[in-house]
Amino acid sequence: MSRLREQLGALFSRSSENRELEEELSFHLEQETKRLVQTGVDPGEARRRAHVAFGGYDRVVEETREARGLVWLENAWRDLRFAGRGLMRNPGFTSVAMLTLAVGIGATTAVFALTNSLLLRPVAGVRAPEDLVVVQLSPERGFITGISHANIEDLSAGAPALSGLAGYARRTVQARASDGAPFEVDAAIVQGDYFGVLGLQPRQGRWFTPDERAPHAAGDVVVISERFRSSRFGGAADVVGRTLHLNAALYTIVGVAPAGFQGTERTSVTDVWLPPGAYGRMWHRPVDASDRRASIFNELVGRLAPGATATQAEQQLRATMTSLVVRYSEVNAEYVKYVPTVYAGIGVPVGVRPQTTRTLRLLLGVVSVLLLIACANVANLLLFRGVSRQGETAVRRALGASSARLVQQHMAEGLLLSLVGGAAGVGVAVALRLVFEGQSLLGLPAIENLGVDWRVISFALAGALLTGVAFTLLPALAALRANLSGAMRATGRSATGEGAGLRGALTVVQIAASLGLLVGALLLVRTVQSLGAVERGYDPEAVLAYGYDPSPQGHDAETARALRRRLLDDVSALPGIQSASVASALPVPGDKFMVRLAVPGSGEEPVRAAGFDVSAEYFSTLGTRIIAGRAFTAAEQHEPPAAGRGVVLGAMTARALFGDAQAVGRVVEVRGFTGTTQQPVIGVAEDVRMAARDHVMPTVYQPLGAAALPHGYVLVRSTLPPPQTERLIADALARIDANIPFFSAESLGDALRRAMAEERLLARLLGLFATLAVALAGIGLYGVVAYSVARRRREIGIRVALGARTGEVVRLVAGQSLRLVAVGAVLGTIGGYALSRALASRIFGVTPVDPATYAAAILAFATVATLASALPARAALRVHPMDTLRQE
Amino acid sequence: MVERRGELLQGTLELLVLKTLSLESMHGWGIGQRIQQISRDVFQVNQGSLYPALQRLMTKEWIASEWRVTENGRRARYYMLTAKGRRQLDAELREWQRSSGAVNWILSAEGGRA
Repeated sequence: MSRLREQLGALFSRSSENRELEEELSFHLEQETKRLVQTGVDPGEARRRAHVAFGGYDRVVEETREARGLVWLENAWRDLRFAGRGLMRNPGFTSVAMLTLAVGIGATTAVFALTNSLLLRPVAGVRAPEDLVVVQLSPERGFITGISHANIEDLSAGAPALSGLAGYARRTVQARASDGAPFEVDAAIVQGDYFGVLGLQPRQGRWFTPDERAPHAAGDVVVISERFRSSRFGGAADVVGRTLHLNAALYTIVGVAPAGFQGTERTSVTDVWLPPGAYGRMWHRPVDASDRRASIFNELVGRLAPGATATQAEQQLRATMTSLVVRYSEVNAEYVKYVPTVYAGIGVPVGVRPQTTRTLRLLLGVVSVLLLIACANVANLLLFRGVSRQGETAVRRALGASSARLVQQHMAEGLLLSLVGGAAGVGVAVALRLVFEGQSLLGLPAIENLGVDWRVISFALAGALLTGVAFTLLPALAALRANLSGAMRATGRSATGEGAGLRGALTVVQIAASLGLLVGALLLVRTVQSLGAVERGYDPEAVLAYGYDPSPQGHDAETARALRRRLLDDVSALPGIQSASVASALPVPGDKFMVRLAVPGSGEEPVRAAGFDVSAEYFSTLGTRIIAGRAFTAAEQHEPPAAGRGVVLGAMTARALFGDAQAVGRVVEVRGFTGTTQQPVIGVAEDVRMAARDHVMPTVYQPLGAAALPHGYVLVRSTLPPPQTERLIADALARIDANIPFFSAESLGDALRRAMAEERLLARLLGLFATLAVALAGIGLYGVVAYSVARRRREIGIRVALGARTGEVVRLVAGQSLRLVAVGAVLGTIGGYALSRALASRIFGVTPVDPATYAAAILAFATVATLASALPARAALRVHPMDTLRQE
Repeated sequence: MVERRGELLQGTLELLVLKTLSLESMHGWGIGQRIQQISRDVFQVNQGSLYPALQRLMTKEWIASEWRVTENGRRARYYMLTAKGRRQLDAELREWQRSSGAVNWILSAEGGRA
């Protein structure tokens, strides 16, 4: 211990030690000189002989200091400073290498951050998460089913391997705090001792008492999340005891969950928790939660008893379920098909787990290849640098630097590069995170909170260190092999060196891959452009739509109809609103009520069409032309469904039913949600392109009064800016019912773009990968050419001295890279074609073999390739014959 | 014992340094002079190589050092044997005598039995 302290102390007082060593050695030389002078030697000659007898002064200093121990630390520090100076002296090389590493490490770290958020990071506040399990009641390879409160309790009692079993049912509810505006919030109704099973401690207040948890209890209490407290109550300290409107009923806040806890699933966030008694109040459907029949869709979470295994729990649950089926055969008979299954761990919903693992593995594979390529490129660059520094290395060796020290110096440079690259990589990862966050991708669930925490940082650091060792070792060993005479011989040789074939092949693969990706990315970019340019039959940007749903507030069909009528009147009367209407659905991709239309007596196959229930002004709000007959009148629009009110058909639907014959005046049979009616066709409307693509969906319009469900959309054209319009309409709605929030508020253009989100994301991702790949391939090419130029300096110098012209030198240097690019381009074009085949279903408005796209990709790539080989070629041209000779 | 005159095996040099210091504390130059004198110039110590050896012995805590003033009023670093170093010297001397005795015995056994 004391020795270590001494050594550490020595390290820090190094300069004083060095002074002492110097003093000691000069004393020695002085004494020796003095002795020689005493034997009659001339003083000058004596000094010389003393030095000769002593041997290499610097070497002695070096060896003595190395013998001092902990010298490696000092060496490391010196090497790092040396490496830092070397890197600063060569900013071009340094920035290219660092960028390469930042890309490689950054992409890997981003995927790790994704993995971390989904699988590794524990759910905040939960005690011993490793003991938690998810229990699902599902048929083999089927969907989960509902379960009643009573069955949960009996299952829990029958499985001693579980110390607790609780359920939660997630629902979106409408909320309003005191006098504020209404909003939607994600809630969970919890069954059993949910918070106790998870081992959570309330941040404020308390959890539900056993009395409050009873199925018959009033259920008028609520626990809120810390996030909800800060966003909706301004972080007020005294929220416990305050009240909250949820779906038209009043609840008292009894507790606040610990910070960060938003439910056990990472793919969703829950902000309020309610006891079972709230179920009936919430949906205005009295549910007797104690009734074994009252199954609701509950997710079950359990905690394994100490020492128990998931398998034991599963066996006990299955046995209990079987006995419950027998005991309550009349209500539980269906559960014969549903077998309880226990899955370890919480966080990722069981249903998406296999896909999650698969996609993460795929992503990890892709970024590993990226990282490997980055490593290979940096190794290439270092090799090139190593060659240009062979002279320096040889001199250092001649001066007595040991092999180990030389390798250490190379490693120091690599580590410094990779650490700085790794730090930049964290930045890249944070940027990439924005690509993934909140997006569902390739079957991965959307993650709400993709954090960069200490795990991600440590991963990036470890990755950087490992990468550093990986890409430094090879060039370091290569430098070692190049001993004094070897170095001289190597500069003389005109060969491109060993490993050139491998490097060339690697570069070809990079070129091919990046070109292929570039083709795919460009095709997708053009697809997104084409999608945006689809002629839709109206201007989606000019129409604003606001979705509202009065049913959670207890409105029935009758009051909902009254509300709709008043809302339409009030909005139409607002200043700045040019045109207003209400519709049951929006003309954008998404779920639609489908109805079947047939010509009575024709006996033909009915036509499936999307049913829209619209007010009179709907067509003029959108700007859709009525091409035959008329639209609904204001008098007709609110009429309840009845025979003979009339329908408007989309042009395509009219053609499908009646061919080229006049449709207006004919009768169609409408088989819809509320029954079958016979309706005269009163008009035909221009087709509206609803899908993301130019595909037209058959459509039939009925008066708004026919709407089967209470929810709807207010559509307006407004002269006011969107935020102001939204406020005006929200106020109009609040005057009718202050508790109803909009569940959506956007222009139809935005809604369409949202529907194209996947194409856009794919285009963005592929574009990102293609850019990275092209950059890496460019760097790889540069490395290969620069390396060969460095090795052939002497040859080039001699050729120039012998009168070689510029063109010949450039051919000599660039010829090799041109061959690589040519082979890579051919392979890349084939790869791009294969990729475009795979993407065929996602490509729109451009053919997969679009020549312009291929030409653009090849041109873009050729530019990068030219740049990458032009830089070293220029360096070759600057080789002066005298320099090469002087180097010898 | 020496490959070439002037190049001592590392372990041998360290043993000689310990032996020299067991007689009296001395500075680096003095140690070199003394080794050469005692060995009657058979071992010509490469003077510079003495200092890394001294540092190795310091690291092993077999010797210690301190700055003193010489008779001529010059500051010099003196080395002395530690208790640990003395034990080490004894152990090495015993080992040395045994093995060198064995080598001598083998080398002096002329001819050998047929």
